[in-house]
Amino acid sequence: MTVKTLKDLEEMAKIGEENLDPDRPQIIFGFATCGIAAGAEGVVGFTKKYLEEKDIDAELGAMGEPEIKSVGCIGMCHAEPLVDIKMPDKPRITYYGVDETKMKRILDEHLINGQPVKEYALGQLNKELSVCDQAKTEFSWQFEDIPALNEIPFLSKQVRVALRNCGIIDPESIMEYVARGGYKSAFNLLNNMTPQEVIDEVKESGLRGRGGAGFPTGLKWQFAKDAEGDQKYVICNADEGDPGAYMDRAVLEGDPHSLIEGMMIGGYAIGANTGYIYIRAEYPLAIKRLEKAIEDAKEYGILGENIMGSGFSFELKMMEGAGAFVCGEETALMGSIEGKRGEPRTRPPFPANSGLFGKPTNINNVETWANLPMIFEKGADWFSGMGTETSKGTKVFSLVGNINRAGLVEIPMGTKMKDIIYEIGGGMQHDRDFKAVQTGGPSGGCIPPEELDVEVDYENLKELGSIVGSGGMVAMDEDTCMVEIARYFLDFCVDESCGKCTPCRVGTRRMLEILDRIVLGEADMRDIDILEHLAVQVRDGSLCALGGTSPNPVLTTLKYFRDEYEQHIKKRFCPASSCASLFISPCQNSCPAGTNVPGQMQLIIEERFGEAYEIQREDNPFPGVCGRVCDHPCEEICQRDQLDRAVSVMAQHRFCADKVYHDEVEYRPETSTLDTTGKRVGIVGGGVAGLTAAYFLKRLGHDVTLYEAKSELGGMLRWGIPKYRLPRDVLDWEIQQILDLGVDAKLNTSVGKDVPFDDLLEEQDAIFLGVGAQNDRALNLEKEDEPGILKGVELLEKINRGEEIELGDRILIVGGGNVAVDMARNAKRMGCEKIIIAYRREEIDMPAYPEEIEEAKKEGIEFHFLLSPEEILIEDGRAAGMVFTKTVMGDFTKWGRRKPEPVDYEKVVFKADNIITAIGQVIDTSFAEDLADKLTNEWGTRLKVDPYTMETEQPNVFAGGDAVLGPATVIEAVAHGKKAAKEIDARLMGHDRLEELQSINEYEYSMTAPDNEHYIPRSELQSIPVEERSCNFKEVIMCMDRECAVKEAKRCLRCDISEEDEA
Amino acid sequence: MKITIDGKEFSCKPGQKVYDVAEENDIYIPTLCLNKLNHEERPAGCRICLVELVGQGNAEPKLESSCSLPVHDGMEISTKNKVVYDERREVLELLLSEHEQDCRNCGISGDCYFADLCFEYDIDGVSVCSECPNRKDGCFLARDILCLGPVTHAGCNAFCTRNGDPCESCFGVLSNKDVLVFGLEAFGENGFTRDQVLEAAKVFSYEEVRVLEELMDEYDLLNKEVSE
Repeated sequence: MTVKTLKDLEEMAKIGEENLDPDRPQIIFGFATCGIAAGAEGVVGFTKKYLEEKDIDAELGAMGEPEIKSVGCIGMCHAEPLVDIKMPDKPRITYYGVDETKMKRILDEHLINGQPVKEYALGQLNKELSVCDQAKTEFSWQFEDIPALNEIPFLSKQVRVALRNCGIIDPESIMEYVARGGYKSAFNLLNNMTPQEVIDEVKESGLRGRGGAGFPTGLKWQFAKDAEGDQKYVICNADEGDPGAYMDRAVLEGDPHSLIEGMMIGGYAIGANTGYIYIRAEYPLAIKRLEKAIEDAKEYGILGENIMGSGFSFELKMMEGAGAFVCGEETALMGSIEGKRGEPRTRPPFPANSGLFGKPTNINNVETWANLPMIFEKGADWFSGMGTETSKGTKVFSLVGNINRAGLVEIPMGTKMKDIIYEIGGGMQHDRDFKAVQTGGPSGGCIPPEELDVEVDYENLKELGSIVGSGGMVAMDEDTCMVEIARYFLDFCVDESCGKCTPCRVGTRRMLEILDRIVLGEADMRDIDILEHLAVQVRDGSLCALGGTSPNPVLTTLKYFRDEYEQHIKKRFCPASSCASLFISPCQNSCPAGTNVPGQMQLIIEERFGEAYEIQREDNPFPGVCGRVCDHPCEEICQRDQLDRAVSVMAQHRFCADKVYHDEVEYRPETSTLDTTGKRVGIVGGGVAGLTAAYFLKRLGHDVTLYEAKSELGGMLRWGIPKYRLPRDVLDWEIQQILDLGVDAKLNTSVGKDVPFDDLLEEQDAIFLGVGAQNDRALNLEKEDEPGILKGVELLEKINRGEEIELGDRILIVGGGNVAVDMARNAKRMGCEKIIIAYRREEIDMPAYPEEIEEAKKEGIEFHFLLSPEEILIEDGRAAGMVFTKTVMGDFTKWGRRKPEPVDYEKVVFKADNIITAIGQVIDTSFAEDLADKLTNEWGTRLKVDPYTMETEQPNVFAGGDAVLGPATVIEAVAHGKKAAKEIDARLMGHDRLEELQSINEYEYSMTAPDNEHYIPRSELQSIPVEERSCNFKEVIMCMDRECAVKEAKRCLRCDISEEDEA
Repeated sequence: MKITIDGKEFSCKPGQKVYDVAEENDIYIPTLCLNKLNHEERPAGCRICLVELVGQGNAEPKLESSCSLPVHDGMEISTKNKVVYDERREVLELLLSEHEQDCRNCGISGDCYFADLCFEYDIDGVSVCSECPNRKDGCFLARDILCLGPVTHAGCNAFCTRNGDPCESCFGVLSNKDVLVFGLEAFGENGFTRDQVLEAAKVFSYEEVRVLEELMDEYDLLNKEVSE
């Protein structure tokens, strides 16, 4: 059959419509490369076998034998394999994540009994098969409780133009394409429009090239049309090579006819009778489907001589590219088609004047071509109605990375980046913090959290140093090292450089060498400058866009994440625990104090608990404390978490400490020390940071005097942490061990009052300030000082001192940190009936430890989120309650957190007898008021130090802990104390001696990798029952027993063992 | 058709390249990859001939390879400014970074356009040997005359060596350590001792001598006494 008239097309459409809505059941498989990779083939095989065994004809009776058919990719990679079931006169139901068990149930219940399986269903499609076409889905028939496919979160914000048929129709059926309106635009314009009218329409639509550079398509066509020449060509660039981008493949595999129609339109407009499709050889399925589509089009007279009776002739040829990335560059691509080496050449002359075989040529990307039929079907106005001022229409992005819903998304230009990541993509996996999104592949750049509100279009991304590019979008979480990302993409460019021009061939290699040195910890700070300088020179001097854009990942990461580069160089520290040469294991790296966790695990396995305790004390004088109250960043990063669950590291710390405390170990090495130096160091504040600094400085041989204003040492550990979490005997024991080294602790001695700070400056060679941040931050509301309103930290201290506190029955706590939760749990133990915690962000944002929140919930404490305090209610001269304004989570800040923004009209009131504020703490600078300007930050809330040396602006005065960080974790304070001690020692002695100290005690343990990469359940910590907790302060969490601890230690994967160790 | 190069106007024919127009008018633009025998082929790969195409209207100025840039009427070109100089210098440095830099043993030495360009763009890393025109008499070192050429930063156009005197290092010691090692090796190969070299090196600053000493230690050069 040959299409000559519109009626012929309509006849084809009729056949297609019958295929799409047949009077017999259909089982439709998402059968693109992604579906196949997810296991669709297995499910197809199973289905065929199952239907045969079941004698399906008899079961279905009059409905007839079910047809098994395959479609392309709908873009929901996270939900593959996808299977649709279409029963006659019923909506098409899409099922996700289908395996054999699910398939069996779907076949039994839906195919045979006609009842869809709601639990597995993703959505349903109406008769018109509308997906993301802006129209509200209207159902003539529908199943209840299953959403329309249009309305599921992944698809509801999308508008599909280029992907309109992908995953809906059978890509190998020309009939179905025609039934969806295909080739009608081409027919109309070939017969009724002049080429110039066609170009004008494209110009009016505002379509810009989707391959990356965004050049206006209509203008490009005009150049090619106006160029002189008897022979002209159109080319489709299907050499999709960016890592992480696969939108072209989806079109090629899911809807090849739209590409053919688009090219036909382009050929007609510029006067070309031949088109080339340059496609990667790595896309075999796409090639197969495209070949079939071209065959079919020829058979129906849609390609070839005198197309559809219009007099216009057009043929299509396919070229397979051998996989060189540079062949995606248009001049290199044309060289490759001509049979030459794939190397770019300089422009001008532009392809529009002298392109393929020296003839005028127009080259566009797959997605650009696929947009064209829709522009002519719905009109240029419709297309330019979408998008922003300069970028019209929609763009397909492949959203991948550490994101919950990965897949292809087609969105109108101008959609906000945060909507793409959070609403369409569903946010980051495992609730991690968002760190950056890399757009545009190796030519693009990284966009940081503070720019998440950007409206995605060509100009805006360019302004941020990135590009839209072909549409790769890799979302990365906090565990991604930005230096490594820059290195990865640059490595790709070095490999793919064609070698023709110097800046790209040599320059990128030199840049890679620098990045290699940085990730190995061998670089110095000059390297950053050289890197930046080289990047700019390579960008400006390269011949083609591959070289010109390859420094983008480096430049953007340097722009937004320079601090990370500096940490790699100055501290040899990779914050994301990614650059393996810089640490022994991720857990050790993520521990602020740098605890050798794998070593401790192995010593526990070998049942050498005394050494296991002491190996931790090399880096941290508080193993028993940290074993109870640490926020364990080590467990967050534990590699075992990717296998089953993280090793319970914290419980192991506690186990070893308890063994030593109860004197149940055979051998315990003595704490190592260096010879006395005669240098004097004064420490202000006997909290965690101060005690840790004292511990290390004493071990390093200095005379240490510690001044504490209060009657006992321990700081927030003693005054802030409830006894049921940290028994005081353990705390006292670990502090005593520090004092036993010979630290001179002066209690009840307030610096500034009892001892002038100037005396210290005179007497001591160096001073460490670990003064903490114990003043409660004010709410800044009126009537804050009325009776009944209490301050969290102050109150906690009183409780922990054992003072009598009178609290009413109803308690309202404002804040979301550990002080708030501790205070609530304390109040419970004091017999309060109703305890409410109100926090201005969401639960996931609470700085308090999740375990503590969990326990608090068990104890019956109420949590209310997204509430911002507005007014304190006073009755009879004392607090009676509080008015809150509802908040919503607004824009992103620099730290990747969203800012709560009040919604004025929504108020919430809580009545309470007492209000406790716990919204943060600030420092008290009364110890050295004259120097306060030099020591504190601009707001006077914290002490200010150089993050690399811990020194304040006052020479030889160092600081750390809460006073610098604000309310920090125990382990962060330990780390500060340790680091300051190291720096003070280096200052006093002229060189760094900490390593020398730590190498005195040698711990030898097995360095053989264990064979434990199979599922082993994590030993959970036991806690005492809830009913035993009220009205007392017993420790809630119980210690592990010996057997349990050894078993748990054996779960450690021993990331510290390298291949060299094993050899 | 007229174009402007460095502020002066020149007439040209359509289809001509900027490089050719400049050459016709004695404006010097360096190039390495342009094939003088096959003038038609313009790979534009070396990027030494970059010039700045001054933007017209709102367009940003752009660096283009002059050998492949076709002229158009009213075009404005700048061949001498800081951007162009820096970019060319960078390209040379990159090329040099892949280069053996052992001028003393190189057959082209003394007649090396690449080395000339390096001097012109003030790039450290090429020793005096490359410009020593005394090749027909053989190397000074081979004649047992201690010449500091192998460790000396080139750029003086080797005036003294032309007159038969060994290099006394007026331009100072090379800062590129890889090349310095080649030079120090050359002394050793020709039988000079550490003391002899250090004696001659007194012309250098203390800091430079220290670098030489460190390199000799690091690579174990010139440490053994050579028996006569």
